[in-house]
Amino acid sequence: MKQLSFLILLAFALIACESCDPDPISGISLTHIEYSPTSFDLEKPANFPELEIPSDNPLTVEKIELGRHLFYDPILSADSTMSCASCHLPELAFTDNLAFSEGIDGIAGNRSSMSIVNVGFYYTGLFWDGRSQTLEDQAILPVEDPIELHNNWPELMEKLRSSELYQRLFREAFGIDNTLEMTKELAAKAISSFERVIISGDAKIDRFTLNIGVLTDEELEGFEMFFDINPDLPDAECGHCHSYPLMTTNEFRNNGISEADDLADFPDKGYGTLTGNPLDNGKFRSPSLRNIQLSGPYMHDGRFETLREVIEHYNSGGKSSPNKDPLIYPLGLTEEQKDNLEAFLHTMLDTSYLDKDYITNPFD
Amino acid sequence: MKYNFLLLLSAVLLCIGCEDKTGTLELKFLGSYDGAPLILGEMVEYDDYQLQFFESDFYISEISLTEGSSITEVKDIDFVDFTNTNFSLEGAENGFSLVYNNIETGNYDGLRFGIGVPPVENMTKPSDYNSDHVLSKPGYYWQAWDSYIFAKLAGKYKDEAGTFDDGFLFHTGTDDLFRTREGNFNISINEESTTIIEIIIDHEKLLKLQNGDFYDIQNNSTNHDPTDPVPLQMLVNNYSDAISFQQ
Ligand code: HEC
Ligand code: HEC
Repeated sequence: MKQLSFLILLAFALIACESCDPDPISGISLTHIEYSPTSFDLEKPANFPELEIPSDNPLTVEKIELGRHLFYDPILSADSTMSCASCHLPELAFTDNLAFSEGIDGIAGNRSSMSIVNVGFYYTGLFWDGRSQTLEDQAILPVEDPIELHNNWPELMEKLRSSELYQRLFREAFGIDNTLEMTKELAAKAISSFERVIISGDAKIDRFTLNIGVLTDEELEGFEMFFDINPDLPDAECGHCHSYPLMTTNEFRNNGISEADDLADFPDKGYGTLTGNPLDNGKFRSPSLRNIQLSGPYMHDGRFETLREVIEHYNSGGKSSPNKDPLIYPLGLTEEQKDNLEAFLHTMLDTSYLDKDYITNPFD
Repeated sequence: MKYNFLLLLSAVLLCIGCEDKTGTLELKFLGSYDGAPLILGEMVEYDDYQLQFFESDFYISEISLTEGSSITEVKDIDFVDFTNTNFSLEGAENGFSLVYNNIETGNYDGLRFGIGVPPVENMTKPSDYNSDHVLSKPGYYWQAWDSYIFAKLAGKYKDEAGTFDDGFLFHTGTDDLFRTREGNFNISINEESTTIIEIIIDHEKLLKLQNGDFYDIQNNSTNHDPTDPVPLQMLVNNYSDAISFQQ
C-alpha cells in the first residue's frame, strides 16, 4: 500500500514536472492562457513633459506586471540572491545606500547606483556617463554584468521558461504561443515598461509650483537661491543643471568634484569615454534631485555622505580642473543660507508613488 | 467618356509640369577667433590676458531666404552648437552644419534668421515638446526670466595668479533681446544640388564693446541679468555684428 502511494506520487511528480519543464526543442504551448492586453492609464504629473514610449513597446498593464516581477525577482542572478531591487531599493528612491554597489560576488563597481524614478523621461543617454541609449537596451546589461547579477541570459531564460508563473506572465504580456518565444528582448521590454511607470511628481515643490501648496520662509529662500530668482540673495546656480520639473537637465557637466591638472588626469573619465572628446572627460550626467534626501551617498562615486557636504562642496567652488563648469565657483553662502538651501532640497521628497500596486514588490 | 479621359490626361500632365523643383541649402557655421578657427579649450589672447572658450551655442530661428519682399521660410527653429565640432582644428575647420532639403529652386537675394527664440515660441516651455525638438532642452530654459536661454557662451580666463581657475559665462534671453541678422547677397538654389553658405562667427567680436574696446570679463564674468545693459545687450547686438557670410 505504501509502495503504491509512493508510485502514484512519483507519477504525479513526473507529470507535473513535464508540464512545467518545457522540452527545449518543442517548448510547451501557452495558448490555453488567455491573452487580452489592457492599455495602461498613465497618470502623468501636470508639469511633466510627455512620456515618450517606443512605438514597438506600448505600455500595457500586463507588461508592467511581468516587468515588476522580473525587477524584484532574485531569479535574475546566477545564485538567486539578488534582483534589480537589491541595488535599486524602492524605499531609497530606487538606489542603494552604498557609494559603490556590490554584485553577487561581493565585487563592488566604481559607480554609485542611480535612482530609476522618472527614468522614462530621460532621453540623453542612461547611466552616469550616458552609455546606454534606451531602457530596453539598458535592461539587458545588469543580468550578465560580472559585478552585478553575473548570470547569463540563456540560462536565465531556461529558468523562466520552466516557471509556471513566468509562462503565464509572458503569455499575458506578449501573447506568445509557446515557451520557446520567451526571449530576453521581451524580458527587457517588460522591465522597461515597469520602469517607465515609476513616476514621482507629487512633492511639495510641485504643489507649490501648481499654486496648490506653499513653502516655508526657509524653503522659499532656498528656492530663490537655487533658481537665482532674488537679486538680494546669492545665486546658487543649481537650477541651471537641476531644472524643474524633472530637477535635472540630464546634461553632462563637470561639477568640480575631481581635481585634475589636465584633461587626461580624471580618475573616471565619464562622458569623455563615450564621446571621445577630451573636453568631455570628467563630465557626468546631472542627476535628478527628486527624493534626493533618500538617495545618499551622493555623486557618481558616492563621495559625500550628506546633503550638507554636497552644499559645502558647491559653496567652496569645487576642485580645480581644466573643464570645471563656470557655474561652479565660490558662492559665499552663510550658514543660514546653507540651511535654507538644504530645506529646499527636502521639498523634492515624494513617497506617494511607492504605494501604487503596480510598483510594490509582488513577492512581499 | 472621351471627354473624361482628356480631362484626366491634362490633369496628369499638369501635375507633372507643376511638380516643384527643389534643392538643398547647407548653412555651415564656422566659429572663429581673431581670424583663426575657434578651438574650444585652447588659449586665445584677449586684451592683455588670455581666454579659453568651452561652450558656444545658440538658437537660430525663422531661417528664411528672401527675394525682394517675398520670403521663403526654410526652418522655424534650430540649434547651433560648437561643442562637438570645435574641439580639434579639423573639426573647427569643418564647422557645424545645418542642412535643409526641399528648398524651392531659384535665385534669392538674401538670407535672414533670428538669434534666439522668437516671442511666440518663447511663451512655451521645454516640457511642451518631445525630446527630438530643439526646444525641449531643459538646460536652455530659465525659469527666473520666463524665457528660453537664447545663447550660451562660456569659458575661462587667466587670473592674476596665472591660472585658468575662474570661468566666464554669458547667457542671453528674453523677448527684448531677440535679434535678427540678414545677409544680402545672391543665393541660387539648384535642383538636386547643395548650396553651401558659410556663416562665420567671430568670438572676439562677440566679446567686445560696441566701440571696439575690450570688455572687462575678469570683473564681470557671470552676470546673466537680462536687464543689465552690459554685457547682455552688448552680446546680443554683437551676435549680428560678429557674423559674416561667405559663399
Ligand atoms: C549590483 C547593483 C545593481 C544591480 C543588481 C542593478 N543595478 Fe541598475 N545600476 C547600478 C549602478 C551602479 C548604476 C549606475 C552605473 C553607471 O552609471 O555606470 C545603475 C544604473 C541603472 C539605470 C540607469 C538609470 C539612469 O538614470 O540612467 C537603470 C535604468 C538601471 N540601473 C536599471 C536596472 C535594472 C532593470 C536592473 C535589473 C535587471 C538593475 N539595474 C540591476 C547598480 C545595479
Ligand atoms: C554645472 C552644473 C551643476 C550645477 C550648477 C549644480 N550641479 Fe549638482 N550635479 C551636477 C552633476 C554633473 C552632478 C553629478 C556629478 C558626479 O557624480 O560626478 C551633480 C550632483 C548633485 C547631487 C548628487 C546627486 C546624486 O544623486 O548623487 C546633488 C545633491 C546636487 N548635485 C545638488 C546641487 C545643488 C544643491 C546645487 C546648487 C548649489 C547644484 N547641484 C549645482 C551638476 C550641477
